[in-house]
Amino acid sequence: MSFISLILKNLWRQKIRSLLAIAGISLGIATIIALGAIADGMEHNLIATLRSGKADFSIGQAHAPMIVMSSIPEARLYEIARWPEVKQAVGALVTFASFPGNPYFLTIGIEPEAFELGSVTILEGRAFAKYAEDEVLLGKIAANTLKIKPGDTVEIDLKRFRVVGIYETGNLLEDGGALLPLRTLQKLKNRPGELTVILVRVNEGFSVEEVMARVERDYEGSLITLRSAEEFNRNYQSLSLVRAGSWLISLLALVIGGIGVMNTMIMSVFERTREIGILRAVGWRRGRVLQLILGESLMLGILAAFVGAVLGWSVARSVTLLPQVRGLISPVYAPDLFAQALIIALGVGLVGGLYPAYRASKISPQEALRYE
Amino acid sequence: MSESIVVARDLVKTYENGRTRALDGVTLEIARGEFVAICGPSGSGKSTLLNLIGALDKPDSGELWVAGEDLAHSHGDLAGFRARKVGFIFQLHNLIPSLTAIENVLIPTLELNHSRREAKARARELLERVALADKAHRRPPELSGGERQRVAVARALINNPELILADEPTGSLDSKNEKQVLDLLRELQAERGVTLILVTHDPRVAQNADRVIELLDGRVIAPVAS
Repeated sequence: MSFISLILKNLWRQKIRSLLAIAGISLGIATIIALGAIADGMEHNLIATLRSGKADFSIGQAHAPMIVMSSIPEARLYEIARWPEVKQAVGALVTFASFPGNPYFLTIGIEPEAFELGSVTILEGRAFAKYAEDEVLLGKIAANTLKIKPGDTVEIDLKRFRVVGIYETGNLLEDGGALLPLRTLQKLKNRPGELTVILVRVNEGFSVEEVMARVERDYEGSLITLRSAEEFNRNYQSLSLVRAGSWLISLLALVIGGIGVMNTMIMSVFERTREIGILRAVGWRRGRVLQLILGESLMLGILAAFVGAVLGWSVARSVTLLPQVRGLISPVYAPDLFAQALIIALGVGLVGGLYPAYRASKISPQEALRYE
Repeated sequence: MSESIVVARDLVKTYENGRTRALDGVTLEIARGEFVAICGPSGSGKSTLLNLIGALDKPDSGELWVAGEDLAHSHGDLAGFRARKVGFIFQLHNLIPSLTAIENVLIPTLELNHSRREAKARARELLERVALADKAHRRPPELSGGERQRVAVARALINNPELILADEPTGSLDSKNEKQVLDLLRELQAERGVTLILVTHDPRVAQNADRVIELLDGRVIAPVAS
């Protein structure tokens, strides 16, 4: 019999109590995993949306809480496009529209000239005409899920459109949505002259950094430039909010789980007073008793981390199967996330086990042996 | 008389801030390999004496040497001393109920870094010696009172102690099991040359020993040396 097996046996003999403690911690862990995986997934897709294609950088509205709420006057696009250092600048209006069975259907208003810069490849059919009022291109994933072919009609925001082709950009979010002529979408959404994002390609011989710096200088306080994932995170707060929420839940899990484990372990130490006295009498040092009790609470944490990871994974997975978010969210299960969950679970075990273990180590053998 | 394993001089132990005088100047010597019974009514201080000899507690004053260790003036935790030198047998709830007989026997070996395999072999051998080889994987609730005490005897011997301390080991057994456990303790004490100190309130049980030390009100009333 090893020390570890003794720890497991001690947890096993109070099955219900141990399981309840594990359930408590693992719910917190599952929430952390599910939220984290969804946030990571959103981050991946949204970043790709902004940075896709052959653009050197993108421009968004400063202080916008999230990308679909970014609003840039179209006039800015024409100003920047005239700069000698800019080879090409195109604008897009990114919004959500209602679609049968999906109130958050991603729609991007764009001009056919911008397809190359946005990495749009036409797989079937043809591109829409620049000012067509009833033509739409459907993303590959959307077309597959909805079983729509070129020539079919779809209803977007209660208006009928003819699907003229199927496109692919390689980005899950974009491929789950639709492309419309920019003017048509601006009109449909009642946002004339408005853009969400500007994609910029810099002329050869100019430095991308200098052009980005000029945008930030000339339009200080109104426009920001985005180049990387981190910048995106820093500038669009909605994901930071999800992240902050996830950390807050982690903290709550730590506190609530820790109290639960502490309660479990104090009860367990109290019930085993005589037993601990016997261990001490047969030669166990205080430190060994401390290790035993702390080992038991850490083991609760480790078991809860595994249960919570499986649970969190299942929750995140089932969320993606909801029709409302299909194609919008694809959770990313980063090793970091699981490491974070394991550290939190171990923290819960440590926080909850320290005091009971200390108490147990202070039990005097001869007093405990008198205790019946 | 051969070398002494226990030497006590004027041992005093009080409880409740001196209001209860459990031991009131106990002087005694116990020889290595001896089987001694400490006998006395309840409250005579016999268990207190056993706890001092077993380094579970410390005397307020006096001298106490056990197996070469100065227990009256030692500092800190004497768990290491207990693990190596002493084997304890108690009256009740001696074993850990969730562990099997062999696991209970192995508990004291976790403290000394013995090889697991050797410890296990030794535990099997001891269980065989106490005639419980076939019940090695039963848990205490599945064993009779006598069987449980025999497991405790095997556990007391697992670390090869110099001294076995038994506090009313047959106190909760019927006469048949009592005889069996006492015979076993005697045999093991003789064949292993280990010193056995048995505390009891029952003169019949005490009769089994080489020598009886009688305690009353915290003092020795029978002759100290045989």
